[in-house]
Amino acid sequence: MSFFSDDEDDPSYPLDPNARPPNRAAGVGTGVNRTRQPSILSTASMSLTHDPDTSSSIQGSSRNPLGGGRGGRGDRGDRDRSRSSISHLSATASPGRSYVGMSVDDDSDMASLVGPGRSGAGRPRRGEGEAADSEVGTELDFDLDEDEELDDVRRMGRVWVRERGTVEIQQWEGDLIDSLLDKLEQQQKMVTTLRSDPATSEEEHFKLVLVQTEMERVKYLVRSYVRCRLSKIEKYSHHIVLTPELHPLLSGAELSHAKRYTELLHTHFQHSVLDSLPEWLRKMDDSYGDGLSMVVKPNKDIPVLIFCRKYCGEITLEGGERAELARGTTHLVRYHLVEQWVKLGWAEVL
Amino acid sequence: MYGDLALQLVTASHRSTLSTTPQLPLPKYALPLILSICLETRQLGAAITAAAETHGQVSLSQDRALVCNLTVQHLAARRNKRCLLAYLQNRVNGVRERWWDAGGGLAYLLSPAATASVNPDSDAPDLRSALSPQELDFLRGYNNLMLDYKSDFLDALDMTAGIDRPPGELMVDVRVIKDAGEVVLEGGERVEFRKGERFRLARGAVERLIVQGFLEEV
Repeated sequence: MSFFSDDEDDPSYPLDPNARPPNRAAGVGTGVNRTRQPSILSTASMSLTHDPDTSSSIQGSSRNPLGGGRGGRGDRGDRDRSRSSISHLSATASPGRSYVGMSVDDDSDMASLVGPGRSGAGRPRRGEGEAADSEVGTELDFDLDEDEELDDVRRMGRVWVRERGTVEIQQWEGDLIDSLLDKLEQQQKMVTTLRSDPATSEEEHFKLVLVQTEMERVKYLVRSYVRCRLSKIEKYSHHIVLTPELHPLLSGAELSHAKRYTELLHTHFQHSVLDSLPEWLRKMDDSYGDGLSMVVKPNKDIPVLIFCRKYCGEITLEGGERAELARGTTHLVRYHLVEQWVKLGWAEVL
Repeated sequence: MYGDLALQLVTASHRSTLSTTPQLPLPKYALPLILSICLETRQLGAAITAAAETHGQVSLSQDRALVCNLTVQHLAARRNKRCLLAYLQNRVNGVRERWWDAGGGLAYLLSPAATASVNPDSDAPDLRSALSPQELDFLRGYNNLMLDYKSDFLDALDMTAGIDRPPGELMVDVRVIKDAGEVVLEGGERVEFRKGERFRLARGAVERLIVQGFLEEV
């Protein structure tokens, strides 16, 4: 715990919110790669926004280094605000502040990294996640939290965060997208009607502007989600086409996009160079002697920062040590160790 | 030395951020270099086949010098292939990024105007001449693919609009930096955009013009 105390004594760092995550990450011996998103999207991330306005709240929470998950729960309001439902005409969210909060709680939670971090691990070994599986089987009756009451926009937000935070393609949320697009359409009609209605009062016009802004935001969310998936599909298109198990995860349009894109890319390669090489060098799915394959696969070994919404059992880290994924804590572990929890939505990638 | 040319190709492409930074002009397709690498690889391939044939199966297992020779040539040929594909892939990524950056406007992307707006006072080649014919085909194919894909969503949202920042405000102040003529906006209103004028318009309606460099946010 000592190095965190050292950190807290250092008067300089809370003034610079941008500098903190790397410091902490270095402290636990594993680099946090905060820009792991595909490059097309890398400039867009809301969750990485460090707004100067938040520095005061960072200072506040940093005085509680042992607060563990408390900060995370407490700050949920900030995230939720950014996803407030478009279906409420009387949206009260202030447009300027909504997107600020997400990074703050991430940082204040870093204190709980001490668990996996101090054990000198942060570098879990492959293939040991199975040990954890059996242990947590008994935890399935843990209360299923507030999942049912989440409205579409909030669910969309979570799905979006999960898609952006992970390396491999996740389940396509077709129903959610459809229902959101339907709602957007209805809302658009309502807004158009109300705007052209002379009986609409000044105050209602103001509310309409809020609703429209919220609609733009939801559109942004959907767009960013779909494009994030597209970028993954294009990156791993050959792998996806060759692996039938992945096909159910994609929507019909996405699957055909993956196939056609692979074809297009390979035709391009064939015409550009492969046709002028000796015949035994023209294949696109060779593997080299050292096991390196031409088909690019997602790297599940990269470290991810997760926040546990529920108790996710114990995992075994590389050093053979065990780390408990208690509810409300944050951990920095290799992705393949927590993959299943992320997919279930029990753990959230930050 | 085997593979020198390929190394040259890859290091140049790896060091330069030109191909993946949409704001900068794409470097010209390195056709001569690629052709000579292909030639070298073909010669290597021919040498391997010839050596294997003249010496036959028997001596292959005994003559260690021959085995060593073949291995090196084989590895060099594979390495050449890998370098070529890496170069192409890097350019493909750059081309795709440029496509998204231009909001999916293929005609706009290939017109000389696009390069001029990005880099007005340089005589850099426009995208069309920097691409190889095959890459141009790829770009067209990609454009068609994306048109197909986004038509599913088109009634509700424009997939190619920017996702750099979450929208904060509904309206946006813009200044016209290039004459765009008369434009019909979403609500059916007509606006005449002349250079230097300023407007306050709905962001969604003029997003595309901002992306393509006709308007500038104030």
